[in-house]
Amino acid sequence: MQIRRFVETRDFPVDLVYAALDRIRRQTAVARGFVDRIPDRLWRGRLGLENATLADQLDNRNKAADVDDESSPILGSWPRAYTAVLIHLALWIVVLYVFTVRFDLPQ
Amino acid sequence: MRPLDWLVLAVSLAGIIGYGLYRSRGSGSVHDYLLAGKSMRWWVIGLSIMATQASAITFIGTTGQGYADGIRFVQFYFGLPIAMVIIAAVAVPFFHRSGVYTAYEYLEKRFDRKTRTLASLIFLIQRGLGVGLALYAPAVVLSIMVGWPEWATIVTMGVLVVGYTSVGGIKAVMWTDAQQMTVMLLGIVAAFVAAVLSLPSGVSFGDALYLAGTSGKLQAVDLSFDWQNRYNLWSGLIGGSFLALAYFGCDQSQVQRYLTGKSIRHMRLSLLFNSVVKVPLQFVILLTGAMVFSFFLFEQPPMLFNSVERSALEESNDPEYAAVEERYEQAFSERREAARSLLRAETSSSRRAYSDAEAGFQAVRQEGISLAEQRKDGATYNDTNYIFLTFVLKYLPVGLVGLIMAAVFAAAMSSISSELNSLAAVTVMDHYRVYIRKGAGDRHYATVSKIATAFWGLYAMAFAGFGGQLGSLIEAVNIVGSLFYGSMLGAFVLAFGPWRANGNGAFAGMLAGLAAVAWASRNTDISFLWYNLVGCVVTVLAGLIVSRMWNSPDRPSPATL
Repeated sequence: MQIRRFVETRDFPVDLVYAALDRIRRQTAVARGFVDRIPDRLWRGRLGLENATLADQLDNRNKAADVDDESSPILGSWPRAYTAVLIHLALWIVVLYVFTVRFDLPQ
Repeated sequence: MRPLDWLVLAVSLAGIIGYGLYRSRGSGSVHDYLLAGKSMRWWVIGLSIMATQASAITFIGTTGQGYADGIRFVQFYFGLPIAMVIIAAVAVPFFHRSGVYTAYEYLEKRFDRKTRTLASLIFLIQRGLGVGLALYAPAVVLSIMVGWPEWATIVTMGVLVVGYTSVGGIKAVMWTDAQQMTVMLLGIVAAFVAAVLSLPSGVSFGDALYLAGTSGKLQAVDLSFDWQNRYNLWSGLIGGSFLALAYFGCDQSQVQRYLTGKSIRHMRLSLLFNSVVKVPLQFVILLTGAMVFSFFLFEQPPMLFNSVERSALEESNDPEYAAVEERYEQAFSERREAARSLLRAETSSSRRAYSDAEAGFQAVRQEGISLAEQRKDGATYNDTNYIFLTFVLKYLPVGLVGLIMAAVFAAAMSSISSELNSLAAVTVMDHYRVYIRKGAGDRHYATVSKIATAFWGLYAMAFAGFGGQLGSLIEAVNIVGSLFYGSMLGAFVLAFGPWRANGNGAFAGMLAGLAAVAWASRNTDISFLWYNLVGCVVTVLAGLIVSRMWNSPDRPSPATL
């Protein structure tokens, strides 16, 4: 219970533990095999928390961060990248329309 | 093909397959075998997505279409970038977070097992029929063009593809796809340059464009709206978007490519890469076909591009065929002269003379086609897929022929391998693991996946082997395939959307969508591109209504998966 109380305080760096385990898991097949043997209760529920509310929150936060932090390497953000793709499409349609007007000359 | 061409072809194929197998070593677990351990980079995924979509028939048929029908087919791809943006923004995070092996596994997490099973069965039926065709269709063309027996082409391609796909899994498939797509891109550029350089002296690229345009081959954008016209701006943008959404967002053969991405960023970049490249690429392929058309204005093309049919008619000693052949040569000479006159002096009379000569030439060719159809008891004759390879094999320099044939083989194998791998993934993860053997070890599922890949490969070879006797069934297979996508897309729209849909609703919606598309295909004349829109809309509407009426146990919202 003391561990649980300690963990549930915001001071405990659960994020760092999770990140470290995940990093180890990605390194080598041996390490991945070792980490994968950690019981799911520990792995998913973070350090054996019976009530995994905090863990779930962190998990969801990590997942959200996984999505949001990965900004597009092109133009800095995904919405801008998507807009650029659609503008690119619009430009191609215009170019092809001009091409049609210029070259499509059936009798 | 000359020895150097064979050498280029053999070295290209051996190099591609060898490299793919080398990169796939260590795919012992099912996670590695089906998802490449989620380690792939965006450019490999992007090239693999393109290679999967570009079958051999796409490669040789699209250039043929540029020759026969012009470049308006490019509008078919206008919806693809829109679909890619939607999938990258909406579907990719859900698929990535949920950690699924197949797109249909997500449907169980979001809805229930019966929805997953229905969607995965639809995929198995559709793709199972398609993989046989993906092997048979190019094998027929290649066997005629290369001079091999049909079975030899089927067995050669089949054994190679099944070998590296079952041994190396998705890593081998994707790395070979990337190499194959690179060879295809080289082949496309080389073919375009060769087509332009092959024009006779005195005929420039601009002249070739002018002649192709005068023949009505260069209408890239058609602003008119017509439900029955499959290639106009609106069917491309709207119908094409729904088709691309269904294909890239719900078809396991494509979803599995980006599920292997090492992060959401890599998954998204691979899709955006495709969305930027696809339209210009298709334009170049189609324009190559238009250039081949202009080339054949000055160099007499065979009346029938399918050499087997042509030889059969020649050997029949039919006096009617000999007379048509004579008229064909005469019509060609008149058209060539009219084209030269038009280039010398552009006047309304020279334009009219050229158009008349072109119409006369096509009329005589149609007579030859009618004779070929009569010989086959009225079966439709279509030689679009033979046009480009006739040009390549007869007029391109040694070495380049080998490269382009390697590109065609690469296009065939890249599509087939991706289909085999995805069929194995769905068979094992959505059916075997769920209904036959639950909770077995990781290596067990990897082994079964290899067996499933080999099974689907042998099935494809058997289907292709009997392809010649299937006749009109092949057309039916193509039509049936286009009926399923809309309802599948509808199920995923229900899954990803912000509305409260449940498993009963999604399941009933899919059935309603299938029924609506089947009804539309029988009772209306709308182009097949619109089927996906019909199926999707009906599925979503029916799904939402049934969800409200018939509650099933609460399931997580998409944001928590």
